[in-house]
Amino acid sequence: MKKYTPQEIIRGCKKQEPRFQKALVVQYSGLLMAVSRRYTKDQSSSKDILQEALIQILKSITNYKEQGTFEAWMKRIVINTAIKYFSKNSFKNELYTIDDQPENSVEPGAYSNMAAAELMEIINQLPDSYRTIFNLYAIEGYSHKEIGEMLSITESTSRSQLTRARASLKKILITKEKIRLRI
Amino acid sequence: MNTEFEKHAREQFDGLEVTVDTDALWANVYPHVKEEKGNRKVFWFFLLGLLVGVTAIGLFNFKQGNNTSANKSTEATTSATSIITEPIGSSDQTDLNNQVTAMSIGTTADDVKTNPSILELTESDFEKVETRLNTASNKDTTASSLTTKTKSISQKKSPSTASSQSNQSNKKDAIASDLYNEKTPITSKETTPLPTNKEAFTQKEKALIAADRKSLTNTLLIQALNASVIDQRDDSKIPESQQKNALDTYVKNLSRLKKATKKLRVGIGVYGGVSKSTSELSTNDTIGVNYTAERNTSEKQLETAHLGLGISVYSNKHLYLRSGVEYTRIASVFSSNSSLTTIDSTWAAKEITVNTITGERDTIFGNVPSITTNEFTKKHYNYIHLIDIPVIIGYQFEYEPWSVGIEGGIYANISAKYTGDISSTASDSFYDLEADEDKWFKTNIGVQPFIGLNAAYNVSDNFQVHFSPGFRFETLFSTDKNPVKEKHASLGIRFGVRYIFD
Repeated sequence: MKKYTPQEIIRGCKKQEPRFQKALVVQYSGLLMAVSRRYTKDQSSSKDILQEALIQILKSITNYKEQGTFEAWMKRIVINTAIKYFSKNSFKNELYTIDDQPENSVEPGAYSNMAAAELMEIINQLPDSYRTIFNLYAIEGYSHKEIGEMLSITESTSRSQLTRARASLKKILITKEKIRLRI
Repeated sequence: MNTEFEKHAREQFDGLEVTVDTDALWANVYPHVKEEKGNRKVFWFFLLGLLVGVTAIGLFNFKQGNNTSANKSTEATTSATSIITEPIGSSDQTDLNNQVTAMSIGTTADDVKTNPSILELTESDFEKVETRLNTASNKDTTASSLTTKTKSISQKKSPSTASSQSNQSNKKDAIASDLYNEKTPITSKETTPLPTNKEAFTQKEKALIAADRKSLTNTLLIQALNASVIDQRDDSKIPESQQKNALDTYVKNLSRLKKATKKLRVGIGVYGGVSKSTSELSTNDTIGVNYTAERNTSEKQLETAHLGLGISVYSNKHLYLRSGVEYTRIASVFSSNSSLTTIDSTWAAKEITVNTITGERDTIFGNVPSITTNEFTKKHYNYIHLIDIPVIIGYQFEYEPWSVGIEGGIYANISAKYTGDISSTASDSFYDLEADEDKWFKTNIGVQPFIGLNAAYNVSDNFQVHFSPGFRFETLFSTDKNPVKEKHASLGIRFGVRYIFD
């Protein structure tokens, strides 16, 4: 299949040309699926989010002003779709009991050899709200203020949930490391 | 740990792609993003709705106007022609009927030449008569005091007028008699035989109405009104239907008279219409030969739509000037074909080995390439949007309640805008008409000559519906930069409604 440049795809999609619309789906769905996958626990939900996001992208591409990269614009739509997919209330009301902070620290060796799939598996063990905030802050690079606006929560809620997410991750990594050492 | 772990995760996730069944995904996405093409239907429904709406409002106003004028209270005033001197009463209708009869008979154009003073009537005289007629027509009448009434009116006339009236009366009688003897077609459908003493009158009355229909002109109407001769008749009752007919005829003629006496009348209206546009593409240079051929085969002209606000000025010499603002949309469709081939792989049986001795089958699974080709035909709907100021002059022939005008003039274009896209000179791409980066099209197409007809039907004195077939001559839409010389012309019809102010 012919590979189109982002400019060609944008121009073609703005004119609602099916071949360019399909080219967008073919060329970018892998990248966008990876984003969607980080925000969901199961593949079925991530497929639903990706499909919804692609429809949104193709419908609203005429509004794309070519400020920032095209990929970043599409990723943002996927993230917003994922956020909508889960109830916003879950970010406010979801309460998880965090056990005491693990005493042991995690050595870099515990994760330095981990590939993306394994990292994704670890992150997916986090509850929805922690996972979302961790992804937005640590992976996508949004500030707490931006996260607060996106999720309709306060900045302090975002901070506290991130702290808890980090603590949970630490715990998961230590447990994983212990199992590895036993083996 | 946090920073290190997060940094490692970021590195791993950066640019990460996950395998997705894109065919299945596309199959689910495509139905949601298909181009919707309901806009054209909406446009036509809007145009139709607008015309129906405006017509309905016009007819409603017409009805309202009639009711209002019928309900007006009228003061008895002394007319210059002594037509109206009595207060409105049941007997007035018979007086008025007599006047109608008198006016309907009229005299000949020669009489006007010999006695021009009979044309000396003012507009207010007609208005007074009309008001009283409308009021009287809404009242039950017994017409029992016809003789008394006519006498009382006659007494108020000057001796000279009375003498003149006597002559006029004789003439009218003669004309009516002639017409009756000629068996002029009579429209009245009275079937009940009238009493003998009425019969002569009825027949005469019919003849008079026929005379009115046959020969009445505005000039004769003026004469008849001015003469204001009241027949001395029986005091028999005149059938109501005849009275109504006579009154209707009178009111119609009065409106014609008004038109004739007014030097200028102004009308405003809205209209819409459709045309068939022709597009002529010719090559500007050698490069454009193939391109022109390609556009000629891929493009098709659709209907052209018009929507306008019009202002018209009518003179009593049958000339009129028509102007306003008109929006024109020339539509065409351009079809492009494309195909998309997707090479993918699916997990399937790759190799099957059959042991010929034991008969065992060994199936090896693996990725098998699959090739999918999708053919697409896209229709690009292209539009040229024009805003013009028409300056049209015409000459109008009156055939009450119709009028037909022959008109001609220009359409001065003030804006030309293009939307859609056409095939580009470079293969496999499109030229965006709206962006028009190479300045292929004019933004103002100048002046277009126009000729046409304008047939109007007067629903009332002030309101008319019209339809106007017309032809706009071929105009160049492309600049010299365009490899194709593009011209358009249109032949079509416009429908509309018009309100004419008194």
